[in-house]
Amino acid sequence: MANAAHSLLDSSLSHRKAHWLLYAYCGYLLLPLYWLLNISLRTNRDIVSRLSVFPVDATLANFAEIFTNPVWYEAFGNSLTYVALNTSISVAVALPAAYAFSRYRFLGDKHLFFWLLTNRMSPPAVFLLPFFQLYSAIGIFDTPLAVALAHCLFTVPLAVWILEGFMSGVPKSLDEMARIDGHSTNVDWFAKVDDVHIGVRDKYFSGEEVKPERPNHGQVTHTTVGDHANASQRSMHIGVYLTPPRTNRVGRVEIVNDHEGWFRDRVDILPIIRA
Amino acid sequence: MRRRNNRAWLGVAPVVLIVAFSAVLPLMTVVNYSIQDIFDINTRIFVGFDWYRETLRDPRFLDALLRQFTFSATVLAIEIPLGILVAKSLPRTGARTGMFLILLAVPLLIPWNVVGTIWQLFARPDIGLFGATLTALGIEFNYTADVIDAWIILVLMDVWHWTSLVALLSFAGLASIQEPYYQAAEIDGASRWQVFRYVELPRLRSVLIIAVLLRLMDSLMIYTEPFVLTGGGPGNSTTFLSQYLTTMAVSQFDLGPAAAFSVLYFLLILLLCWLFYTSVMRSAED
Repeated sequence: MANAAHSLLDSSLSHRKAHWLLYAYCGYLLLPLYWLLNISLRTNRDIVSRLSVFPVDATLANFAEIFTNPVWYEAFGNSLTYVALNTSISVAVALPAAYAFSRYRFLGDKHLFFWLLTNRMSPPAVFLLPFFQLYSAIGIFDTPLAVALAHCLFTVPLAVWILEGFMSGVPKSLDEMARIDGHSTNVDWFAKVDDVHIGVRDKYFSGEEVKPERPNHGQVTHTTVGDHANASQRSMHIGVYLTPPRTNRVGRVEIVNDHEGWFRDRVDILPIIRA
Repeated sequence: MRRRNNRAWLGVAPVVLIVAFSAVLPLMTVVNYSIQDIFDINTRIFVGFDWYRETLRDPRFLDALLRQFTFSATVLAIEIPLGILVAKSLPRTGARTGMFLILLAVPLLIPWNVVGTIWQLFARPDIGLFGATLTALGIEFNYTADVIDAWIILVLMDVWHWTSLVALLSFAGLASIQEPYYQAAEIDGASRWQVFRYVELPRLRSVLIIAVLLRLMDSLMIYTEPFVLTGGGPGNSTTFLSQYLTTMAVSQFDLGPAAAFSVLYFLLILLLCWLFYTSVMRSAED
């Protein structure tokens, strides 16, 4: 059955059809590019005088022209500057936004997302004149920065969408699992962290019910201690059911040992989803 | 389920600021121009909606609008199904997957004016592989003189340029479907088509919405590639809205009419996308 499921997973087209389509499409993608390469390796006279599928007298003269003529290579420099600026700005602002859209609901989130979309919808030609005046007014006209900022109009919303799609593709259970494993790098950026102090006696190893010290903050429903839990372990996981106003909050629990004092540490509280 | 937390606004604030600077300010300027007759910096006359009325009666505007819709409908009808097909025919894992993904990404990485140049070189009946092959086969092909040929090459170019986007988005969507779904479908004895229709398509919904919206908007705004490839010709047969607007604003410097055109153009795209977006969202709720 696993094999059959795999065949469905691979493709719902039959393999032969899928291969045929894929290679035909790749040919369609590559042919115009090949032709560009072919023409770039030939002289003007050669290009117009005959049609050859392969460059017979291949020459790199055209490329030499690009790298020696300042008109060409300075343009490349400008492009690189603009691209570096635009990419840094776009990714820097889009990354936190995509995370927020992917993981949280907040006031006006849908409208905001649609508003970003509308900027992607505005025809660039519309902005020609206003940009000219705006950038002249603040003195950055004719600089790579102006171009980079202007293009943020299109690149930032696109970056937010693409990143949001990929982040939403990562199941949220992975976040929880990472948290269980103590990856503090995966902190909940915008979550409010409550400190909940619960005393846990050493009897929890035997599976006995433990009483919370401050019951209105939460109660320990069960403890999960893995094989690796021992005296040297600095952390362990305890399932805590938080009373309703605190449900789904992430907090911390302090473990105190009454007798030997072998363990005094804090562990993360994980929200427990009741079945 | 996503948690409700208004502090997430901290994450989106930078995006809002930068887009407000590069979108809201300029757009206000355009609206301002569209209701005035501007002779120079100091001489402006308020004309109300005159420019809008004039634009809506302009036969060249209406022709460009019709061509625009025809073009967008054609490329969407080809790119979306083809993109899904390509995504589905890609192997899910393995060394070849990466190679195909890189290959698919190539057209998206090429500057738009270079795309126009590539297709011009490819399609020319004298020096282009495509044009010359057709001519050699006895099919008359000249996109600079024949309207149908010009349209064919424009559509081929746009499909070449943008199907990859649909394919990559669909592939990302397909990759996020976990194996138990397929196993469940297998147990239920679903056919390949049923798996696609009832397992994959619903899961692809969100990426497909984005793909259709992006392609709808971008095809409605297309400028660079036809400008390089056909220059809007032969005649005006491939002059779309952006190109007509640019001619008005830059070549003829008709600020008022061009601004009114801009506002109408923007509202039109906004309306279409909003209609699409809300109808999709509504059908999702049912």
